Amino acid sequence: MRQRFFTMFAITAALFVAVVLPAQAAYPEKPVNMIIAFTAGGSSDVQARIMEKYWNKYIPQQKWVFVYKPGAGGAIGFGEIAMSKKDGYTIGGINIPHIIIQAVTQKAQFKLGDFDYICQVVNDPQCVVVRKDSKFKSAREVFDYSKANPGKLKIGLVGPNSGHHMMYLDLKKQLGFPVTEVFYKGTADQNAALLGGEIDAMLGNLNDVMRSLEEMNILALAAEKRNDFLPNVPTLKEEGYDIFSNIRRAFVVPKGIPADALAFLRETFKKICLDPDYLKDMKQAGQPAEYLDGVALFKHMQSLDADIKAAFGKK
Amino acid sequence: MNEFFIPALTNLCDPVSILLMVGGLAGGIVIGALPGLTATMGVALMVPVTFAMDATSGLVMLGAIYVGAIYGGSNSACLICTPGTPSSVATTFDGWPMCQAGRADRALITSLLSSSFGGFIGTAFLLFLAAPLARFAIKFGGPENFWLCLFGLSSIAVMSSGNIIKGLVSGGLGMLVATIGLDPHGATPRFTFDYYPLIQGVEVIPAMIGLFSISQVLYLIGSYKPFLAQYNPTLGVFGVVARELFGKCKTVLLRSSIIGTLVGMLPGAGGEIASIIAYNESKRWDKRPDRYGTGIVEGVASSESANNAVIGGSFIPMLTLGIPGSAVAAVILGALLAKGIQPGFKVFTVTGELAYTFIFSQFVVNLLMIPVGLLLVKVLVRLLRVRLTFVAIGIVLLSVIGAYAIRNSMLDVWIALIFGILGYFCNRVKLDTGAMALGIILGPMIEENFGKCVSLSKASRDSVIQVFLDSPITLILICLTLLSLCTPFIMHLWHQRAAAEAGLSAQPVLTVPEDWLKDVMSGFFVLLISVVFFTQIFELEDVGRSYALLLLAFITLMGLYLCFQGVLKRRRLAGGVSSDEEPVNMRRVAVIVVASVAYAAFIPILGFYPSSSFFLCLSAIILNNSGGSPYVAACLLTLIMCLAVWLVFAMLLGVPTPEGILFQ
Repeated sequence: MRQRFFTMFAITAALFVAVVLPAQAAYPEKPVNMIIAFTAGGSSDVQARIMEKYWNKYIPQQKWVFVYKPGAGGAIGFGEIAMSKKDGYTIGGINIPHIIIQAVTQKAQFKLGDFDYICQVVNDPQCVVVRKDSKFKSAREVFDYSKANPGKLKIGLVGPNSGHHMMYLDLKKQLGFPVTEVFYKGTADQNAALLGGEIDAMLGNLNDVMRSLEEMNILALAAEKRNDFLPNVPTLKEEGYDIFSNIRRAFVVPKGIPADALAFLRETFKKICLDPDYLKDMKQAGQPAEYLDGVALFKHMQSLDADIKAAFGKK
Repeated sequence: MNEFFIPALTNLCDPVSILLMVGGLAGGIVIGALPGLTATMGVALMVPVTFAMDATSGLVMLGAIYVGAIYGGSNSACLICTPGTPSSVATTFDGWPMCQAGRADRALITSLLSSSFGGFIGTAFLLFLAAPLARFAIKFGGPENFWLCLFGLSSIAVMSSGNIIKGLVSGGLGMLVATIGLDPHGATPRFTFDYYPLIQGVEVIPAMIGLFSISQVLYLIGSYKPFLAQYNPTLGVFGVVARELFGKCKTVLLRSSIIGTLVGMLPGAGGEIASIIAYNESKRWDKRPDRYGTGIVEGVASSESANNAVIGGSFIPMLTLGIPGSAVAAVILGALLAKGIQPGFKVFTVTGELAYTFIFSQFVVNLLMIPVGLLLVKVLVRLLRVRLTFVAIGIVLLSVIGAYAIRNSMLDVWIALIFGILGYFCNRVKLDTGAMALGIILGPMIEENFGKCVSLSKASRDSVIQVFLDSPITLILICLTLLSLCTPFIMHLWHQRAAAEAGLSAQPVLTVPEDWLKDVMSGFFVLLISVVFFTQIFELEDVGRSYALLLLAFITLMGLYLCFQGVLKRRRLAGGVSSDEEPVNMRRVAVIVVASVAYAAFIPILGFYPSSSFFLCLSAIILNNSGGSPYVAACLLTLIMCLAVWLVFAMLLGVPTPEGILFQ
């Protein structure tokens, strides 16, 4: 009996040591899980893989293990990040504004306060896009036509409850914009519909429309300033419309990880984001890189949250 | 274009390229053959590897994996009646009967040669007709895709010509189950039964793993057979099959390959629809359609040539317009863009060397597939020499890890198990699991595209019919669908006339005698499901609700009809119920069900490998029926399976296995 007790004690002690000791070692000392809330090979995945390449350059001893948790437009994966262990060894990629809209409109398993924000890495502006052979040569022409012919203009959006949907609601609020709206499941369907003539114009992200540049005309960007990718495309602001809309990608950890781990992650991500080679790779992949630190990002998200509650909350 | 030919061919003669193609093919075939690991996953997991290569080699390798995986799916379809990828559903219809009749080698080589042929045709279209076909493909919008899906669905009527009502109700059940999750129009949760994770919906692949592979395991365990199937190798089988395919089946092959290419290049539809449509067209135009489903070469050939032709087709809009024709093409497009290569018609001039190397590599890959595939066929038929109990237990393990790997979610494991038990029950009462799978695949696409039509109708005076009338392609598809729905009746009349001419009394070709109890039970099952879903209907609104209500009403009506039909049959039979079924050992079925459920329940506690070892070892010992001592065999099975899973999933693909609280 006594012997068995000692054996049990020894095993428990060994387990305790195995669990507790590593936690006291300095961060980082084991591989980190990277949760991607979309399918492997998608835009979010490609961006994170570029990030990984430079992480390995700065922190070669710590590898990333990619875990894909797609479903419900990212909501499943975002919830997974929020609920993961708060030890600093689980990071995840999020998309803004999707994550905010989901928290408002669904019974999602997360709130914005459930995360600590590492930083923003991509700011992908929305644009007004038509076919190359379209009669519309500027965003103003599109808006004016829609007002003169209510319901005639067919506009394609990815959604519902997406960044595109938000911009569309904003357009409706500010300009009236009486059009026929059609929702698509993804950007591939949406691009195909525009090229095939099912819709006359669409609201799309720069990253997504860049792939069919040969066939499309980008009329205007819903951004504060012009983009390096397409320096000739004006902003909606220049055309006289106060409309700003974008999709941002950022990296987060569950709230409450050790402070030194968070500081380490923030510092390393910042180093990567400012690396000229990284920026070159991002540009080649058509990902509009823009660094924003975690604190500033959270502030931006809180102001967006109020807008979104006003636009979607009543539904 | 000619100036790129020589450099492209030189690129391909490079030993590294050949190695990449052979490696990609072999890996792809294994991934495709494992239920749960699909072509999409296999390619996506290899994308990061291509980041370290030059763009051309990366593209060539990804293309080879795609080809291998789509062919690989047919191996498990023929050998264990489980489509390895959703594209191989139609291959099971004739492949499995062939295997059961002892002609497994013929089925496998038929699918190998047809896949290779289909791939060739698809690539030829890509090489010569990419530009005009791409322009045509993007004409397929909401209305066109809606009717294309309905056309695919109408094949249920041809498929289950023996029992149309049960076929239709099974398709309806599949469509109903597919409505679980986020409603595509309002993005509100639907039929989640207040369980949040269900918001991600019932994914096609776990449901298919359940309907096909787990229900197949239950059937196999319950049967008194010692082995999967008899196996009588044919001498000189390669020559025999090749002569048969390229002699008598050349029309079937060519037609199916063209259907595959055309469906493949459409952005909305992929291999799973192409193979079903091709199978049905072969059956429709055959002089003796009743032979389909009994294990004939034409059946396997049409499905497999079509799904491999899809590959070339799906690259057409991907390369020329930047619009992927299938889920796998979307992943490959992502890899291309990450390399900074801009798709577009200019791809053939500005980056011509890359484009032509890629296209030529597809020809070479399809050629190389024949020797690589033959080698693997030789290995795979050995599966038929393993005792059935062990094979069946091994399939459970593969199904569980396969279902988990799709989204790294235990929910999918449970979905697979539940669908397995339901699928077994459905097979017993003669509901059609093939039609159900079709409903699960096509249901969401039908709803989504119908939603687009409704949205578009706002610009056409709120008339959806006007939207349909506006497109000539839609009109053609509507006619085809109606024709397809009438086919069983036309065939019936034609048979009657032929019989009358032959001086025989008209035989009731289309009615299969069935015992009444099955009708009543299937009717009750259908009604039960509709009641369960009906409890949730009040929480829904708008389009998401009316679509679900429509489905429910249809299913309820059909369920009532089935009950009624059963009762009527009983009256007519008045006693003597004849049954020509094989005996079933229900005790063994119950044991494997309990063991599988316990296995899934223990994974989150014990971790994947410990629970798998327990499950494999214990069920092999309990279910052993070889007469000898089970312990050595059970340990061997456990060791081999765990090692294989660890090698393929953890080492090769880097897919995480479920973690437990106690062990990782």
